Amino acid sequence: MLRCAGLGAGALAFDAIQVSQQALAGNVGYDSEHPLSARSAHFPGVRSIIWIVLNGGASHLDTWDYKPELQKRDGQMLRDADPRVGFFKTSGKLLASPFRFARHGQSGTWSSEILPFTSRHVDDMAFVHSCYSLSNNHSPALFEMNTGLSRMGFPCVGSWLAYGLGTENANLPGFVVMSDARGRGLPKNHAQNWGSGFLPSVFQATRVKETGAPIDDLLRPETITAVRQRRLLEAANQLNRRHRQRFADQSQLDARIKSLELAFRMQMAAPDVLAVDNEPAHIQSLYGMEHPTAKFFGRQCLIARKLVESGVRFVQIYSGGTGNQASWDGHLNIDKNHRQFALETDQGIGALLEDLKQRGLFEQTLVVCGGEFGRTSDSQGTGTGRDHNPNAFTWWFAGGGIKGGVHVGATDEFGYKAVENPHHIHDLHATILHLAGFDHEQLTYRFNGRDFRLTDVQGEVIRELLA
Amino acid sequence: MRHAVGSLADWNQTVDRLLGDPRFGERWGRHWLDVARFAESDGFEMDYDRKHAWRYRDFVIRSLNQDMPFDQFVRLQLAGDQLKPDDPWAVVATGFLVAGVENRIQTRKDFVQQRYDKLDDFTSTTGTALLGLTIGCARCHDHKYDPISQDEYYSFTAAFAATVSATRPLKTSAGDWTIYAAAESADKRIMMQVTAEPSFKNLPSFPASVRFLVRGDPDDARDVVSTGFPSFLVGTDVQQTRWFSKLDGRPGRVALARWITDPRGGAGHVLARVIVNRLWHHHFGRGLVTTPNDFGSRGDRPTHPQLLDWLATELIRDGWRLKPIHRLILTSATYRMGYQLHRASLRDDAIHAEDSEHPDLTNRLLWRREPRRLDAEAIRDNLVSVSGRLNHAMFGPGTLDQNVARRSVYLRVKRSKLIPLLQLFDSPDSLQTIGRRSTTTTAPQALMMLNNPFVRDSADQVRRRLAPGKAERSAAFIDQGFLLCVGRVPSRDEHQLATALLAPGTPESQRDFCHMLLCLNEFLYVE
Repeated sequence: MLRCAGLGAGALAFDAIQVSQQALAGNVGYDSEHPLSARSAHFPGVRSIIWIVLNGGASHLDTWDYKPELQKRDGQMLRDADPRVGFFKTSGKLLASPFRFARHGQSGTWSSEILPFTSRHVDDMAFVHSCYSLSNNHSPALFEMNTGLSRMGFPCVGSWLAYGLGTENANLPGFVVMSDARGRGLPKNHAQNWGSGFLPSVFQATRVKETGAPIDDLLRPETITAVRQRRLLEAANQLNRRHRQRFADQSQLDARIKSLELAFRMQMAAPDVLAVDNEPAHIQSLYGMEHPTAKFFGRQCLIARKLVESGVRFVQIYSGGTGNQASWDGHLNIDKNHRQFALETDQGIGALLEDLKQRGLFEQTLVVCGGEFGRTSDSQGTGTGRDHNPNAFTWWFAGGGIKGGVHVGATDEFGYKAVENPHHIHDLHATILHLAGFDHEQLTYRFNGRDFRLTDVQGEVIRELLA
Repeated sequence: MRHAVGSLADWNQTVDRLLGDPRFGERWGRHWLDVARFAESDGFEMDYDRKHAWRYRDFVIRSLNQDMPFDQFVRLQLAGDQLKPDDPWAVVATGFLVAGVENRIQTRKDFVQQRYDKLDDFTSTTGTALLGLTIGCARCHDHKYDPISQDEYYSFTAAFAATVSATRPLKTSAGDWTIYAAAESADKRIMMQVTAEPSFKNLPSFPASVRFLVRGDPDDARDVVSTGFPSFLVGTDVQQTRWFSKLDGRPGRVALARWITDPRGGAGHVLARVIVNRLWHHHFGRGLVTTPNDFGSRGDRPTHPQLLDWLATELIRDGWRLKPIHRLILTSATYRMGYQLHRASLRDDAIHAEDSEHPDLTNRLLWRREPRRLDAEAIRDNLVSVSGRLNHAMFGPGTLDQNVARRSVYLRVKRSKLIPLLQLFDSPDSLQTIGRRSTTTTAPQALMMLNNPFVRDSADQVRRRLAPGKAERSAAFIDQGFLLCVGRVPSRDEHQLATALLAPGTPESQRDFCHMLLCLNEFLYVE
């Protein structure tokens, strides 16, 4: 201990608490020399996860949460409307959904007419209608959705999983993100959404870009042939191995030698996985790649399928860009906005579910769809838009470990607030980790003196969703 | 690179020269910027630029080069605007407090929460960066491991009750500046911010005071609290009032600055211990306490407690100047230790034939020097340097363009657009204070070294430097390449390898040879 006479008494007090054991690196097999090596989860779980983010805050009321009372009472005042719910001030007048609803599948799931392709799969999808978050503001809400906390500086779900699982295919990153397919910019918060926070930066997402070289520095420049690069690498390898002999017990140097080899293989393998042109015509057609509007997001869904097929652990796709009207943020006109964004995404999502099933990947892949919050039952602005509503929204889950056709929780008769079995984002995260094979209370990382986890000090697995 | 073997006097002279080099402040300043979570943008939705935040970076570099006493360095960063309002650098120093993220698009629902998040950033960063004290863990409940109560958290936080970030003009002898620094809210109120919607009128505000929040929840706010310091860091016979005398209406952070630097009764000795450990950490790759941001019970115990304490005592005794401590460390026998294999360190190979029987496999006792990977900035600076482009211009606004040939410490830190090359090699994201970077080894790093235009361009430049104007395949070319990139001449074997690579005798093969040198472990690791 640091006891030493003549120093401030306070210093002595601080000494007295220096009693801990060597800090644990965490409870997964993380190793900084092989940060991406494949690791086992706590128990068996899905191999991969695809999370489709309806960026901007999709309306539950116009998609999956059918509210007959809302439809009946269009224009009437919403009792107990809270002016603090939205970002702007809402009118307090109920706004019926402009869309027709119908029941689908054996589960009789209600869905909106703007989702014809996805609606075919309702019996394989599980819905949480009682989601809520704490922030009604895009930026903090996106952080909350991604990291569990509305503040900055914490790792997102994909980073936690990459930390926990490593990557199964060393030629590909473990965590991939794709942003708006139509070039309308990154979501609010930009790349900060998929940062790894205090986890090593190797666990942040690799962005696969919509246009140009899909991954930075992935491709060998055209001016240099593979043979030339191979020769260069061979020479470096030989010199590195000689250097290594002088430091026989320094395994970090080995890791670095291996990383050069891996990089060389990666640039050969990865472009194939990211290319969709060589997919058969019927697959391209399934994903809507002949459709002038659906083809952009459809292509990303197809890439997502190829990525998880190749062993990528976590793929996150953002539908919608930066500006309000460039995303699901339908402040002005919910009809126009959501019709547009549903048209862009519905076919691709339906195709993804279909394709995963026909390839036998459905059981080992979890598909999640949801955004940072829902929207208000009352209108705003010109009377045709909806404001942010963190008190009620719907997420759905499909694939490995999920019981199909299930509806968990409920909102009130107008869909204004989650009232039955409300589930905060922490619960959604706990469930995702569970499905990936992790006890969310045990997947931890020590940073600045504290063992952090994705679910902070909360989170409960939503058991009703589980098969 | 191995240091030249010479006399101790030569060594001491080299140390003095390097400590006096302006590059010293750039290198060590970057370490402090990690601790200060320094960046030049707001973060959050739009990640607005802080166009004038670079002056704080310059303050850090200048101060370290001038060997400003560390207690003063700390006082200015906490309260320079209050202590020396007429000294521009003292005001700029408070850029430390406001370097964290700030959301300027708030809602009526979340603006109070956001204010408490900001206060938590001030408090947590101050505690962790300066004292290795994870006080932020007591925001919602008493600290689970260290003796800090939730009450004490809020008392500490009250030191910043009216502290806000401000971009403002400042008249100085060097001309009119615009600075980004801390200030006290003029009307003692905290107002909701919503920069994206200038049409919003009658924004709500609340008094700039700190209330005790049950479970950290702003909707469950209790009494207003006044500034105070954790009792376990206050001497037993000491009244906290001593740090509050003659405040003359100035905020609690002035008292905080006094307490935290007071080695007799305040937290000064802990402050000293934490900073000398940071120096040790960067010199050896591992601190005497290996968790430099956590000296509490969850952190690691010091490997050499008396040494740590002695260094801290020396620092205080010598007027808080850091350079003498650097000198002590650098001229020590421990620092000058070379690399040796486990067995070589033992007297009898026969007894300790197995590595696992070595008494100190992990080198906790520092019986040898192990190779270390350079950190991100040094890797980039080296690339610029070997290609002969390094621009030594100091200070001033930075740039987001990584191709600019200035040292990396002058690249702009924009939170949503971090420089990929630096990020890949584990530079921090500037969101929370970082005492120890991770050191990862990944394929994307290797892809960058192989394919990135900046690296390829560096290889071209190296070639041009070595063989200006003509394509030659000479022994001298190979020797010079090794000397330039890895600081030594090649062995005969290595020479043969290089000769084979250069066999085509083309500019391309020369370029590839140079590029190959940049891909060597020796280029990334120092011995």
